[in-house]
Amino acid sequence: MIEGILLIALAIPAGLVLQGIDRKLTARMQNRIGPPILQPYYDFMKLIQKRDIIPDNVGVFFTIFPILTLVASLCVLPFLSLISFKGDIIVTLYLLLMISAFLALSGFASGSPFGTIGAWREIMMVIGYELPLVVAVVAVIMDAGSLSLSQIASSAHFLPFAFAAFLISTQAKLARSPFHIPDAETEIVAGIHTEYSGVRLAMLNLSAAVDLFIMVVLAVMLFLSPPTWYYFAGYSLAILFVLTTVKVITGRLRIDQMIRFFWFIVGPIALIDLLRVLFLAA
Amino acid sequence: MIEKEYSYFLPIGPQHPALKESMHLTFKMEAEEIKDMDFNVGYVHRGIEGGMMTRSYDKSLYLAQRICGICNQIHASAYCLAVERLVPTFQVPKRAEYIRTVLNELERIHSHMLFVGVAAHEFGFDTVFMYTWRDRELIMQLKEKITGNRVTNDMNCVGGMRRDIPKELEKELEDAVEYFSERADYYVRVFTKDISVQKRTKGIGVLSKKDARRLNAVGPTARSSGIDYDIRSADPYEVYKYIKFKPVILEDGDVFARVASRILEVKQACDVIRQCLPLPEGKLKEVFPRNVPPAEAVASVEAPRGELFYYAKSNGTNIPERIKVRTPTYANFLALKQFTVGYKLADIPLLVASIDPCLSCTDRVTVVDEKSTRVLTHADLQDIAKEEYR
Repeated sequence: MIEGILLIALAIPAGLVLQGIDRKLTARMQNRIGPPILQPYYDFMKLIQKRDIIPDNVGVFFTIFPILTLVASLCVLPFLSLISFKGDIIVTLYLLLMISAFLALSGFASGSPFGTIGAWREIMMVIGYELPLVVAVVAVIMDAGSLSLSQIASSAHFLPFAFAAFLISTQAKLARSPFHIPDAETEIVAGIHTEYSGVRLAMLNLSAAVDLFIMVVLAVMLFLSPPTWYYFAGYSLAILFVLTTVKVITGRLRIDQMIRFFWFIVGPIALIDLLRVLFLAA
Repeated sequence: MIEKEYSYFLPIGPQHPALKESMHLTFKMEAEEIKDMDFNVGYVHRGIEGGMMTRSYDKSLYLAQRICGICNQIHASAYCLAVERLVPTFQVPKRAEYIRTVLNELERIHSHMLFVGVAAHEFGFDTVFMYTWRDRELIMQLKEKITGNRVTNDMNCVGGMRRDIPKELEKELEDAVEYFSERADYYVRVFTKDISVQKRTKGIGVLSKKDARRLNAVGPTARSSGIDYDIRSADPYEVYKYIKFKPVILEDGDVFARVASRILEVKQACDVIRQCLPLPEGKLKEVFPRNVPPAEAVASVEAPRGELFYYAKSNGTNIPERIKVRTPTYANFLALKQFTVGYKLADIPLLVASIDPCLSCTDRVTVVDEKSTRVLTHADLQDIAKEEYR
């Protein structure tokens, strides 16, 4: 119970710090100095003080959808540890999809061609990575024999292929290189985030920070079973290091290349472990 | 002109993160596919040719240097070449020619390193961007040690060079050139072996040899489509008459070939510098006559982006009658229009960047008035500018 509340309270600060560590690591790998680790926090504090600028041709949804994106991110947190019932892993997956949906809707509500293109690229990315992600999670569910996240997390599951597929899908979910297609800076300015500034952009960035926290914690909870809190933090940082390394050493893929990659390579990789659990464990 | 079916316009520019300088491109798109392209330049027009018509030869040299930020040394060298050719008996001292060539090749290395970084950034590979620009810092610091400034260095003067390269810096030049030869090999390996780079650049933006010749592409854009034309070997000027030189020709004509040809040209530039050192002894400059007798002269040099062409006309005073500049990016634009059609939206920044556009070079005044012809004076241009930007 205490752990559950602690997890929810720590989500936003930990998410911001994880983002900060990611930026610092990226900079060092690129032979630069990089911003201080608390930089995402400073960015958030700066953004909420900015003047409210909205384009002429947007309606009330321009404000509503960023709020809903942040709310959807925060709604996942109770199901990670506080509330526990049979099937809560399904609710978690559903809410994760909702985050992407609201993000895309924010792009459509922007009223500019860059936002629209970014939004339908985000939807196409979801079509790409969602299936391998779900297959990887189902492999874990079958291995644990339970639909409750707390029961799954109580023991480690040795499913390396599903783990790899989950991590690659995480990289796409968080829109990081090689899949930083929805906000491809050199093609569509900032994609979904183009027209947003001030508080709304702060909410979208905060949602991204909480997303990073959620996905890293989910990866640790589903596949690894850390005995103490120190191990939990250590595993999370190790996973973050792997994700950052992949981000630094790759360039951006095109959207059609990305979908082909996920359907024909990552999907079958996740399927290997699912079939192995189904037929060998029985 | 066949009007192709399209569903929406995508404006790129004048302000856009994909563009390093302001130009306006309108892409007519159907979902993610490019159906047609239109471009509009003129955002960086500063009236340099008009300015040159009212200033003496020495002062116009400073204007020529500041036409472009990336290839400024080449512009100044080409201007000096054209003006020096106005007096047919004038001979620039050998040491000045060698120093000019060394600085031109240093400019080429830094410009190509800049381009490779920008090209990597265009398809999202920020790490290569950081690495190439870190290496480019070495060249910029070397330029600062030699000339006193990183960018517009004003080393040229009409008749020779203003300043000398001391012996100690020749050793540093050799070391830098060795380092860059290895780095060029490294970047060729990176671009050839990395899967994400290959997927984004191979087979994209193919310019066939026939099209390149028909549309008059110049520089690495043409040479990577198989056209064997490099001013330094076709019409040697300055030191290229005395040294061994072989142009870099690639066959494929896609974006990868354009990027690779520029990295290989870095290696070639290192080779040229190595052949220029040690510099021959001699005077730095000859006195150029103040009032130039009436004559016309042209000078064609190989800028990093292609063939740079200067035309000078004198009228007996110390103010040029007319100086005309034809920059390589101006010639490459039609080729750009040809090879973007049919590719995806995600390829746009890479296609545009692959001709290495330098808009500061490109903008010259062209008034196409079909009903009557008018000659605009410098004062007219100033009035038009004031109206436009009120």
